[in-house]
Amino acid sequence: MAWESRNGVGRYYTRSKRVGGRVVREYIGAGPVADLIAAQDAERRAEREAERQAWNAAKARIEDAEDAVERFSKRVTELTSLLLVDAGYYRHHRGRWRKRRDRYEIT
Amino acid sequence: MTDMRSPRLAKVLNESKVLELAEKGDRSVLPQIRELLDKLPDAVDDLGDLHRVARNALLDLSSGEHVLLREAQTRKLDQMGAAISGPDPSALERLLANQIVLCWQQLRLITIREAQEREYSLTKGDYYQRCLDRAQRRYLQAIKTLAQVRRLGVPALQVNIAADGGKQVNVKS
Repeated sequence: MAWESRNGVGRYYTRSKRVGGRVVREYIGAGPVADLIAAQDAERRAEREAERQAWNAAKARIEDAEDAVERFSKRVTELTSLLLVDAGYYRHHRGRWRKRRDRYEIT
Repeated sequence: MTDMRSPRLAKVLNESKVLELAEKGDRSVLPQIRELLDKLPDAVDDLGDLHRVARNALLDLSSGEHVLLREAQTRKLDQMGAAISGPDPSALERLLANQIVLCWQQLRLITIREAQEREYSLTKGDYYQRCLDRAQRRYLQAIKTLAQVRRLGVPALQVNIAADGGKQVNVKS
């Protein structure tokens, strides 16, 4: 969004938009009406930027919580495996845990 | 966010190849497994820390600074944990019950967040869907593991777990 002049004369408010893959300038106007439209555009841009920042902050909180749950879950899984292995179980091709029939003691 | 991974626990569990071999049934690593298990009190103590960090992160997400809401959520999580653990749970069952509660809370929070989105878009929808998929997978896996541990019989374990405020809680199975 920008204000432009023609040969150094006038002050026109324009918008850029994409049409068929090309960026084209759209003439909006000049004078008090153009000022008003420019102010509304600026407000919308500020709202979008605030929403973008709020979304990024929300994502960061969600991901922090997920990371923490993931770390805890990973450790619990590892601990469970250690305990089950020690109790004489094994996993066949990472499937279900099975009891070893002939568990022997290590001395 | 600060990495809360404890050096003590990391040291114990860095033996991932040992664990991998053990899971496949390689008996030659049993002495190393026993050595790892000797260090369990520390490892489980650290798990208590990780649990506290995860729970607080979820409470921050659900309640923020709202004291009443946070307290109510805390009680709800405690009640769920106790209900899933059942009477006289082993230490491992308690850990797995805690894991299930955290996974459930995470799944629930993501669902609520998604429903509360004012400006919904394809990008946000895709993001939430992927979060939900991961949370649901973790939740179901935790339930399955607890069911397996109960079916197989829980190995005996006695440890001390640091509770909130640094208070030590003795856990026995």
